[in-house]
Formats: sequence, C-alpha cells, structure tokens
Amino acid sequence: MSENFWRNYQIRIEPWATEYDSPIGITDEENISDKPPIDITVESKDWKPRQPDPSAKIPEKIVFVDGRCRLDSRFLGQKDNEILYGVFATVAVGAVLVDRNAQRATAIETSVKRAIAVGGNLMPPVTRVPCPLGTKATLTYDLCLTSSENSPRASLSLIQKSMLKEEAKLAEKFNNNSDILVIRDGPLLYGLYKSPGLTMGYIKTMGKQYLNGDAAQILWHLNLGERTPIFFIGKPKQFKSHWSWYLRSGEQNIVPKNLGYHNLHGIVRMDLYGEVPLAKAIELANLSTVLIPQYASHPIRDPRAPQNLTPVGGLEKELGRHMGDRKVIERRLRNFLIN
Amino acid sequence: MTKTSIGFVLGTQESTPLEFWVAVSPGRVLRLDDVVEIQTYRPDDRNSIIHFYGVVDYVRTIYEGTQFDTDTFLASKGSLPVNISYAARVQVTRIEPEEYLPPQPGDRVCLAENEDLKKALHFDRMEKPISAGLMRNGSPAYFNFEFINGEKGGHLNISGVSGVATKTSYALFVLHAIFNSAALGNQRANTKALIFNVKGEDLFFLDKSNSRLREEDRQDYQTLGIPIEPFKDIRFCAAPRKNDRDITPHLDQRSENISVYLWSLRELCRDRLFSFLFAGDDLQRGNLGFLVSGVTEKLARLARDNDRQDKKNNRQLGSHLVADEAYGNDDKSRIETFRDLIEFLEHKLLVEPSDPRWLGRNAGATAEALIRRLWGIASEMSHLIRGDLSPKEMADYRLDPLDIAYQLSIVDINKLGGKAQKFVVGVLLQKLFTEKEKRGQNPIVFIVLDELNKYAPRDGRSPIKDLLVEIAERGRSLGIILIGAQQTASEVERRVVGQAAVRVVGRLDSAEAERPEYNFLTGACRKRSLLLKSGSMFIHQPEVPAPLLVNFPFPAYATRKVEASRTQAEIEELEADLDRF
Repeated sequence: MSENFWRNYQIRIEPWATEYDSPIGITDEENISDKPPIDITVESKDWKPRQPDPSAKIPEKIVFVDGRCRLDSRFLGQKDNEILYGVFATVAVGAVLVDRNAQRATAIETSVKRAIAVGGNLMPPVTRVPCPLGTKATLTYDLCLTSSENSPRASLSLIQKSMLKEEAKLAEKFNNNSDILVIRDGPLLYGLYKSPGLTMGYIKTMGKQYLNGDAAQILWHLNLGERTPIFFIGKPKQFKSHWSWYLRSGEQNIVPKNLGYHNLHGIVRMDLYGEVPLAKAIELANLSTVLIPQYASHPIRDPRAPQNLTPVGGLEKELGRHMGDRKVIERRLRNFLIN
Repeated sequence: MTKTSIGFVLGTQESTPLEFWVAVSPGRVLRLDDVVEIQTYRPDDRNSIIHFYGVVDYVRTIYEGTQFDTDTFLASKGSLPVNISYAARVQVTRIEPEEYLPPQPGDRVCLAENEDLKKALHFDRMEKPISAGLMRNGSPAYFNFEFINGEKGGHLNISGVSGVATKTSYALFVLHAIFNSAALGNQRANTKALIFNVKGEDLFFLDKSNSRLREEDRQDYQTLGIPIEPFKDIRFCAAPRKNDRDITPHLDQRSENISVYLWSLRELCRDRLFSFLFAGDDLQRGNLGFLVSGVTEKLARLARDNDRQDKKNNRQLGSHLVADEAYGNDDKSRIETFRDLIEFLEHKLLVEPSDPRWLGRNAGATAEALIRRLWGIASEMSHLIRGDLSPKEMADYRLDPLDIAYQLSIVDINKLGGKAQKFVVGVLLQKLFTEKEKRGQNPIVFIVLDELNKYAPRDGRSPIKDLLVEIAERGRSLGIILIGAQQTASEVERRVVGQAAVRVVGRLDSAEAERPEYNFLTGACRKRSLLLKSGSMFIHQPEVPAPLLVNFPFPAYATRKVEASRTQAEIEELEADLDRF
C-alpha cells in the first residue's frame, strides 16, 4: 500500500544534500501576527531598568521544555504536471527536570517522531523504511502531515508546527504540579495546544523588535540581571495577548564588549500568557531576573551563550542522540526510494 | 535456572572475538574479575548459538553528553542533564563452539554463575581439580592438578613482596588442598612434601589446629570442600645447637617431637656432597672448581675404601673417615670433625711435599684459596657435619623426605648462616634427586622453597643452582615438584621460573611488576598487583587464559605459636595442674 504512494508519484530524494540548506529556519516569532499593539505602562509609568530581586524564591523543581526538528531528506515527486514538494524529518521533544534540592538535572520524557510532510493536500502513508540486516531498530515514519500549499517552505512549516505542538503537549504534562516551574524554550503560542497557564516562554533571539524608539534604548543599558518593566503585547482581554519583558542574562565576569559582541548580547525576552494576573506576572518576572542568569551558558561551551540555557543545551544534545544519525537515515531513505 | 542479566554488548566500542565492552544496565554492578556469559547468533544462521565467556578486566563510568571537564561541575550543580555511562571491558576466556566471530552490539550480557562460571574458567574440563582459593564472587577457583603433578606440566611459582604477599601461607594452603583432594587418588597417602622453614619458627605448629579460626572462615572451607584440620604426619627437623655437647634441636618455640638433622663426614665424602660447601661465586673464580671436583673424587674414593674396611671387619659403617696417612700436627689418622677434614686437606694440598694425586695440576694458590674458604665456613658448618657419632646415633639424625612414616617434612634452616643454608638445601635436594632417579615418579614429592633468588640467582653458577635447574627441567618426570617462591622473579634463573606451569603473584613492588617475567598478567592486573592485600593472589595456569584473583581462607592449622590450640592431652594436664593447686 505505502509502496504504491511512493511509486505512483515517482518520488525521489532531492539530490542536493541537506547540509546546503539552513536547518529548518523559520523563526518562531514570525508566526505571530505582525505589529500587535504594545503597552509599556502596565507595570509602571516609569520606564526604567528594574534591579534583580535577590529575595525571589526559586522553586525547587524547574522543567525546561524544548524540541528539535531535523530535516532528514527533502524529496520531489510528480503529480500530473505538478511538482510535489515534501520532506522526511525527525521531530524530538523532551524536558530537563532540574531538582535544585538534589542538585540534579535529568533529561526526561524525550520522545522522537519521524514525520513526512507533503504539500498539495496529499496525505502521505505511514512508511516503514527497511533496515539492513543485523540491527533490531526500526525506522517508521508515522507522523504524516499535509497542507494545501505545495512549496518547499510549506512542508518545513508543517514540521515546525508539529514540533511546537508536541512541545506544548509536553509542557501540559507538568501543568498539574504547582511546585514545578515550566519554562519553554521559545515563545508561547496560541493554537491547538496552548501551554498551560503559568508556563514561561524564553526567547533567546531578537527575531522581532517589540519596543521602539526611546523604550528600546533601555535595552542597551540593562546590566546583568536587570530587566525592563513588563509590557503588554496585544489588546487587553483579547486572544493572543502576552505579558513580556526583556532581561540581560550572562555571567558577571564576562563583558560582551571584550568578546567582540554588540551590547545587546545576553538580552533575552520572557513571555507569559495574557490571562496571567499582573501581580503573578511581576512575581515571575522578578524570579526570572535571578533564575535565568543562573542557568545561562558560558561562551566556551556554547556559541549561543549566554542566551542558550545550559539545561537546554544538554537537552538538545540528548535529543540529538535520540534522533539518530542523519546520514545513516538519509542513505536508508534513498535506498528505500530506489527500490 | 534464570540468568542474571547485567547489560548489553556496547556498540560504541569495537567488539572482537577476544575482547568486547559491556554497557552495564542502570542499577546493575559489574566489577573487575566478574565473569560474564553472552549468547550470540551466527548472522547467517539464527539457530546456531555461540556462547562467549569472559572475565571483566576494566570497568569505568563517565558522564555522557558532556564536552568539557568542567561540565562535571554543571552536572553536579544540577544545571546540565547528563547520563552516566557504566561500561566494562571483558577479556574472552572461552568460545563455545569455537567460532571466532565477534559478538553483536546489543547482545544481552549475563553474569556467569554456577555451571557457566565453571565453563567460563575451564574448570569443567579439569579431571583433577585442586582448590586454588575463593574468587571475589565467592565461588571456588581451581587448579588443574595435571599441570602441577607433572602429568601435563609441573611446578608452581609464587612471587610477591615479603610480609604482604603471604607466599608461604599460600604454598601451605595449596599443599593442604592437594593433600586433602580426591585428585591424588590412591597416591594420597604416599604423596610427600618437604618444606624449608626460612623465617621464624612459624611452620612448627602446623600439626595444631588454629584457635583463631572464625565461623566465616569455616564457611570458606566448606565452600572449598577442604576439611578444617591441621596437617598430619609431620616430621619437624632442625639443625643441632652449635657448641653443644648434647645434640639438641636449635629451636626456641617448640621442643617436643623435633628431630635433629646432620650428616656424617663419611656420607659427605661418599655421596660427593663436598662441592655443596662452595656456593655462590666460589667455584667461578680461577681453577677452584676444577680443584674442588678433583678433591671431591679423592674424598669419595677414600670414603669407599673406609666403607670396605668397615665391612671387612664386620663393623657398621662409621661416620668418620680414616685417613690414608697421618696428618696434622699431632699425626692423627682419624678424621672426626669438620676441622679435621680441613686439616687433612691442608696436609694433602698445602704442606710440602703436597700430594700430587690430590692437587693435580693446580697451582698452590688455588689450593690455598680452597683451604681458606673451608676455614671460612668451619664455624658455620662443623655442627652439621660430624664424624664423632656412632652409627646408631647417625641413623636417628638421618633426614629422608621419602620416609614412609611421614607425609610432610619441615626442615628449619632459619638458624643457619647463609652458606650453611645453601649447603642443607643443596644436600637434601641432591640426595632426594638421586633417590628419585632410582625410584621413579611415584611417590610425588613437593618441595616448598622460599627465597629462590638466593638458591638459583639469575647470574652466576653454583652446584645448588644447577640442581634447581635440573629439578625444574627434569623434576616433572621424576615426581619432584618445586613450589618455589621469591620476592622478585626477575632475579631468579629464568629456567627455574619459566618451567613452572602454574604462576602465582601476590603484592608486587611497582618496578618489579613491569618486568617481562609477569607478562602473563594483563596490564590491569599488573597495576592491581601493586595493591593486593595480604591473602589475595593472582593465579595463572595454562588452561585458563586470564589470571584469576583469589583469596585463600584463614589457615585451619596454626601458623604461629599463639594460634596453636592445645591438644586434649595438654588440656587435661593443665587441668590436673590446676586441681593440684
């Protein structure tokens, strides 16, 4: 059955190796509707840096949720006279449970899904890729995705969305436990799977500028651990609204200037759902000023330091291991499609 | 029988038919010396199972998912998630059937227990197993007696630092195991051992039970299948005290049931033992060796003439010599002491006109050297070589390790000077060797000799070294088995150590452990040999390809005076004494 699909549409691997592509490169923040209204007066009328709050009580258990997706191979097919675009991809999500009492970080709930995305409303079948003799592992692509748009970009976007959905699902698992603080690597999204209420979003790239003019000036002058006052994105009491603030992460003895970085280095944005009460948002914002720099990575270890959090860096490696070797998988896919 | 699964064959390191790695499952333990078993399939035939057995020789844990050493701090602070990888390297000891293909990554690894353990270490093939001690997992280890008794191989050699390595204790344990083993069959009663006591008087209580044996030690004996009892039928021998008119054994801690050993002048000459008076470098210098062999011959002829004379006169063979001409200042003719013998030789070799038949073509200086050396050892030796005792007395002081009445002879040489020690060892072994050449392989005689480096040093030649080499090379077929020990095998003649089929190593010092003599130890074992505690030894035998670490149980026999339990008779006597008060 599944063989027919691949045969009928004459599907072949895109000969260009995926290394020449950027990895799935759609920034998270592009998905948010453009130019939402911003209110910078919600916490205080006085738009000045806020000092870190050493009295903030850090919860004993923190869960960092993150996902990774990887293009295993692109493929092209032929439907009538149209070119079909699609990808094989691997989506992995997982979490790191940091137990501050036991001083232990453990990667938990890692799961890997193999996905096929094809454009043009053509649902691909569940496909089992044969493995060479001698190994017991199986390679089954069972997350089948399609959309009406038929373009190379559309299939990538499908994969990306499915990963965010998995991340949100995973974050929901920890929602019931009020002792656990959940931090999602990436912005909080509204969608089919919304992360639970108090989940914090951690956005490490300046993909989009929310502050303009004088308000943005402050970002250049934030000291380590300092944050901007909370600002509100979207319209009050409306769907897709967020609390947000910027803070400077990093380490005391690392001066971005000396490393040749610009002055916005180490600035990250935090995200909360709009329905969280303001008082709680302020509490969490104060907490973040102490918490985030504690888990900031060091430039020696991680080129994305200090923005990429250490537990998340570890999780990414762990997920990478679970995903398996891309070259091996691509070779198997190629063999499968040849036969 | 369910097997204890312990992990899987590691896929990130090479698996070879002779060595592979195991990823140890969480919550499981695999230690050095643990024995494992895996089953793998021929990739082309799912029905043919191949069993691999092996011993763990390296274990390690490491943080996985870390890139820098300092990631360890992050991991222990709790901000970096890491995995702990626990892996062990296994040296394969056996493949059944012998298909030298590599195990497959992911194959299940089990602990080898009971029958599997025996298979892994080839114990199942041993027709004549002898307990070699307890392995770390509590199971007994075995020697194949066929590689000790000379059938397929012979001799056992033990190396290790004095005091810690417990070489003598282990030799005794092995002897005890041999004497109490079914492997001896009908030769059990006949098998003999000759032990030289070189240090203290510790071996003089082996006939007593050890009062300090604890309950757990008894358990060990039960596991090993060795009875908890002292040695039986022991003859304790000691040299006579010096300068004592009465002949009493020179021992401080024990007085009862000790026999004295010494030799008559006549025997020394008749059996050509004269050359054993010269040890070490003596015979290498100049023509001394040549002169000594000439003199030995002449003395042997003289002794035979004396014997003939005694027989003709219907006398028992005497212990003295009668010179063929008067000698010395007071024109004596009887040679009754060692000093007399020297004077007699002076007369023959030095006093003008010297006897050309005795001196041969040797220069006067050589003869002087010979006499000088004899005077040098006169005080050490004269109480051991006597010509003043009656034939009846001499019979009492004869030491024959093959004596039917005794199984074990313990000969104290600890109170003797260095040259006298070599003389005693040399003479006893020479006589034993000659006797066994006549009698053949049975009964088997074990010789326990410590400080082999003294008797068979790597450099130089001496009569006793030649003899030990001869025993090492030919002893197997004559039923003389050498259980030799030394601190450093590198200082012992290669042929003596090399002929030993079974090698045992206790604690070594670090420089010694690197020597090629210990090549049978794998790299990891060499390092561990520096750390071995007393009572732990590595054993190596031809059939088992990996050295095994064994502990031997606390001795069931007393090895010190304080350990000796009193016999029932002694207790009764003490009680009677108490009653009297």
